[in-house]
Amino acid sequence: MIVGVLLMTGLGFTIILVTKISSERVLREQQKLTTLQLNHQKEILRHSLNVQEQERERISGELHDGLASKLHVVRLLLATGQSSDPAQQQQIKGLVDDVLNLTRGISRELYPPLLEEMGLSSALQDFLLPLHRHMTIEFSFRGELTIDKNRDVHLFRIVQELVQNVLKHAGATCIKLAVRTSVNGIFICLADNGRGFNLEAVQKSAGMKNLASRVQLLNGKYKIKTRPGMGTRCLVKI
Amino acid sequence: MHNILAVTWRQTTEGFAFGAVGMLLVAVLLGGTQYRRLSSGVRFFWFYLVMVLIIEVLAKYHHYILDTSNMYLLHIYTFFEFVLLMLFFRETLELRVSWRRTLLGITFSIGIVLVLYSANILFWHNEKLLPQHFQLYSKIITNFFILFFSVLFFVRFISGRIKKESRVLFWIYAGILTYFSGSFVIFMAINQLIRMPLKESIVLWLLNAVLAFVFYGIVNTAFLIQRQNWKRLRPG
Repeated sequence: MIVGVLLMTGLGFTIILVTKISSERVLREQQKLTTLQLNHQKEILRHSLNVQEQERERISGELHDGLASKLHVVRLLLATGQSSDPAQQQQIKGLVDDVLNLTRGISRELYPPLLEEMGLSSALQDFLLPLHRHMTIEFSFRGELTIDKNRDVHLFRIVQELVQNVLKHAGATCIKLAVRTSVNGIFICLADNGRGFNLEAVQKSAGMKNLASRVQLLNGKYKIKTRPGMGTRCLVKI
Repeated sequence: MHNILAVTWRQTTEGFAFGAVGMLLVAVLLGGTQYRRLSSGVRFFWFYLVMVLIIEVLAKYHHYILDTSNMYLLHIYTFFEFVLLMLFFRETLELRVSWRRTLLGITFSIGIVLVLYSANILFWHNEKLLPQHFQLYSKIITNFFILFFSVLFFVRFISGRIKKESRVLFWIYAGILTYFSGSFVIFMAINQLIRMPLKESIVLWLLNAVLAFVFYGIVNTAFLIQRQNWKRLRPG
């Protein structure tokens, strides 16, 4: 009987002890996970700040080298005082047109105007239009998407980032972009016939981090399938 | 020599039994002083402790002052213990039993107890309440349910389903499991123990007293944690 009491109490103690040890282990793992998530968020924040600074630097460069230098020439031409000379007038007109085009270009890059007015599909079409001169582009948009400024700008930037990567690194002659919306979410698929790359080698690059942070911001997932010499296919699900 | 040993065992048992009552009193005071801050589940547990304290005082009064049998108190104790602990389990384990069903269950239990008591007095006479006729099978059944629910708590605790005031509840349930796992075996044999000479059963009563002492000690830890938590969260 005494042995029975001691055994049962021992069993009770064992249950308590096991619970205590395992719950503390779970707690430690949760803390570790929280620390990892915090570090990841910090990394994303640091990266987005870097991207912001790079963007400012680029705009500053374009304003300084493009706009300011052209405006200086216009000022010089106007200062010479021969404004009645038709050739000079033509030159000034050409320079002002350049300035206007540059301004429009910078403005469009900062925020695509069609995105808010016409939605993602039109903004993407507008973005891809100038690229037709360099390569074959197949673009399809299926389903309906209500305009959501915050979401659409991220989706647009995701596609922009992917296309820019293709232009910079892939050496592709053909891009296929498909956007599909359904009750299960928004799916973006971008495929190219370029040289492909080693995915592990570029995992920590600025472009990939930018893509990852934007997808994460929209609670989405992305997957890249590529091999050297086999082209690239990127799938994004939001 | 044998008699001296028996006296020592008895004194040790009484010492632990009184120590357990002291611990219980501290637990009632600790819970009572922070009653408003206790959750509804823990309040039921506090009521259980108050009930145990009253029964303990009555039992000691019967034993030491009136020198009469206090065994009838065990029936009352078993009933209230079961009801109050089930209410505690219902609240803290978030069991999906409606209040209507809970009240029906309590009413049914009261009815059963009253019918059995009346039947005992009417048909089997009062002497059936004497120790030689004493039986407490209900305690084994109720202890089994209490054990079951306290183990269920730890299963849910491991799976992360217990979120609210988990540290306080952990220690309360640790106390319940410690006491009831050991006392389950004792109460399984209580009908025989009652009829055995004290010197033969004293070790088991000592174990029961030690378990009760540990139980209330752990409960005090839970109430102290509750107090600390409140102090930590209190603004200013």
